[in-house]
Amino acid sequence: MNQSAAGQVAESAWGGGVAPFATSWQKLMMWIFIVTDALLFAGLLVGYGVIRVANGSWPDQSEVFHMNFIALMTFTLITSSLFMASAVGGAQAGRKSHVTLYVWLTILGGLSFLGMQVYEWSTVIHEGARLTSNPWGIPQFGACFFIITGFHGLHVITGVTILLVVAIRTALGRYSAEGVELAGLYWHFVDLVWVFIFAFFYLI
Amino acid sequence: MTADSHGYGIYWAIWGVLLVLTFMMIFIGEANLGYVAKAFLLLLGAAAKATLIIFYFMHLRLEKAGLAVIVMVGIFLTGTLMFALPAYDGSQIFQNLLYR
Repeated sequence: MNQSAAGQVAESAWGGGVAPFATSWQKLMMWIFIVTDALLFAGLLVGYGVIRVANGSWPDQSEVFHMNFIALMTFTLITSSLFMASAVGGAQAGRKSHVTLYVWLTILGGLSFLGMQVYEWSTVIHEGARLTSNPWGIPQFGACFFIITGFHGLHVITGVTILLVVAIRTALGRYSAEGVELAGLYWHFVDLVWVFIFAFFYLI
Repeated sequence: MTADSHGYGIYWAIWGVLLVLTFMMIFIGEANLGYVAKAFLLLLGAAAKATLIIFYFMHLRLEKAGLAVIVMVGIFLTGTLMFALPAYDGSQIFQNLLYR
């Protein structure tokens, strides 16, 4: 097979010639990571679903949580995603000041969300919830709550850390549009996961 | 990717739609609907929000179709299968608990 024929095969298989899907390996790997990480959360939510269905009854979430507060947490995360998308847009347009502003606003949103999660955990723990027991009747309720929101919180902490690195690199003039975009992909994924946690754990 | 990502208007529009969907989901969550209807509507709302985030905030709409197919199949089809199969298993356990 000559080089031209090999190029045609690659084009037909990947739609991007020598670069799969005409994108960098870093971005492709980030997408693959996101898909696999989504399956991790799908697994956690499936476990929660089986436990809930098998139990037959479940605590009324509106009696355990302050739903307005959970809605505020959701609003904060969605808004931080808006700022992150704007930071990516600014990076692609070469506007360093926009990248700086929006990345810091995203970090602020992430820290606010984490602060609210700490408050929520403290409240629930203060009311007697533990991994193996809680005052609302179903022992597994506490485990599901702490494990699912805890895993998500760890992702938020990781995202804020990545964004701090991006912010520092931007301040030093060492940022790249793709670097900001990769950080953005991860941050939006954190928002994406919360959409499903919010729907399945808090609302259903 | 870069074609139309320099203006921020589209992001604000998507943000607005996401907020409206969130409020609708909260309303559905508190409405006096049947459990199955509520679960179906909330799943629909979550899927709509996820699709908007993936395609607009994460710019998947600007990537090659092959990558979009891999991501969407990976997340949604596998996710759906993972939900559907244990849901059946869980309901069997529930039935056994009821009638033992």
